[in-house]
Amino acid sequence: MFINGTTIEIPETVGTIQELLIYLKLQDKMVIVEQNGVILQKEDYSQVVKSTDTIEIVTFVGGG
Amino acid sequence: MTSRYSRQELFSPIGYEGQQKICQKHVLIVGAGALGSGNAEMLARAGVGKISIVDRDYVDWSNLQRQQLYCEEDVREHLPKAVAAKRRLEAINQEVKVEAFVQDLTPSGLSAFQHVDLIIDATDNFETRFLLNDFAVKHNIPWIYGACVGSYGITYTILPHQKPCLNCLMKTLPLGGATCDTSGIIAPTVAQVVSYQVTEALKILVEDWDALRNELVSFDSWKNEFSKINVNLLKQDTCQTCGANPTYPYLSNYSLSKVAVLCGRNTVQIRPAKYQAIDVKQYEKYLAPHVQNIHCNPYLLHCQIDQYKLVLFADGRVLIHGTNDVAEAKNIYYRYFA
Ligand SMILES: [Zn+2]
Repeated sequence: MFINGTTIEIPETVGTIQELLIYLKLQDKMVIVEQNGVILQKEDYSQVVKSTDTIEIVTFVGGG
Repeated sequence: MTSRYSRQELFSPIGYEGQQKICQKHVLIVGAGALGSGNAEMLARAGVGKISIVDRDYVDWSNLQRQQLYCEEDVREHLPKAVAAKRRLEAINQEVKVEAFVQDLTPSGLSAFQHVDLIIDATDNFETRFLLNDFAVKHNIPWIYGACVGSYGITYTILPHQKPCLNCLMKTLPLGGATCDTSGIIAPTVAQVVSYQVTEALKILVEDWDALRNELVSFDSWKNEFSKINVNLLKQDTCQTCGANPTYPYLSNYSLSKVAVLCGRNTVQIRPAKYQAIDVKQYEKYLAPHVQNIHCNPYLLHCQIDQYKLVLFADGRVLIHGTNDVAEAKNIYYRYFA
């Protein structure tokens, strides 16, 4: 899978956006996810991900 | 001093005309930590007419690794960051008018900034950012979100009503823990976020609106990751801040917490129920027999009580270093300041 500009091997057990976020340990973070150029609403996180997908994930952080 | 800004004027998107605009603009920088320092220095060198800086903290040894405006002398003098920043910025460019405010950001404090041209977010918490977002949208002031932790940084430019606001993007304030970053930070991450922020700031100050970046940008320069997302579709018509019927929830229901645990710093801040400017010198006399290592300047008083380090600010706030426990901190506060 192509995530944030890097090719990353994701186990086959990861089938949805939500599972991907859990795998990347981002499930508790404030994130915005884009899949193949389409921005996702929170309700869309059950959507299927494929190994050929291009994913962008932006995490909101507080420090400054 | 006609040559001072010559390199910037030679840069055609700015030019002489753009420089004239920059020199007449007023920028509010909220927070004078790492991002605040970097933004302030670049904007002062660029010749911004007036810079107002709001920060509630003072300069500490652990700041010097990345907060570029400060030096060892500021730490020894226990200077508030806003005051030390003003001093340094005026030394860099005396043509710039710099205002320093040593205080928490509140709705009433913000009301003095309704006419600024731009707000730079350099805070370290979302409570303040959501307040800032409401205020900026209400008064139609562009603002630039920036944040960083470790080698990760993120930034986004908010043009009220034209682009989704922070409330559209995040919908709710994240729970306290989610924003408590304890994983450290390296200076280049700060510089990178600052570069993005100041570049966008210059575009706004010269009114080159078309040049503004449309995307939310994030990067991790240690992991060599970079990401850009166009978030325009996330603008919500029902947004309580920028939608059709705004209530500005953070601005109108703002309740300044009397007691706040300062995340990752083993510190509790306590403020008096009612704002009252105090003379810290008077407290020095009163406290001296009871405490160790007391030190006082016009802005704050520093001392040691047992294992705690206490700082009393002229706006009445007290920082109690050495505990994360609110009850423990209150106990000390009431013993010495009530
Ligand atoms: Zn909004």
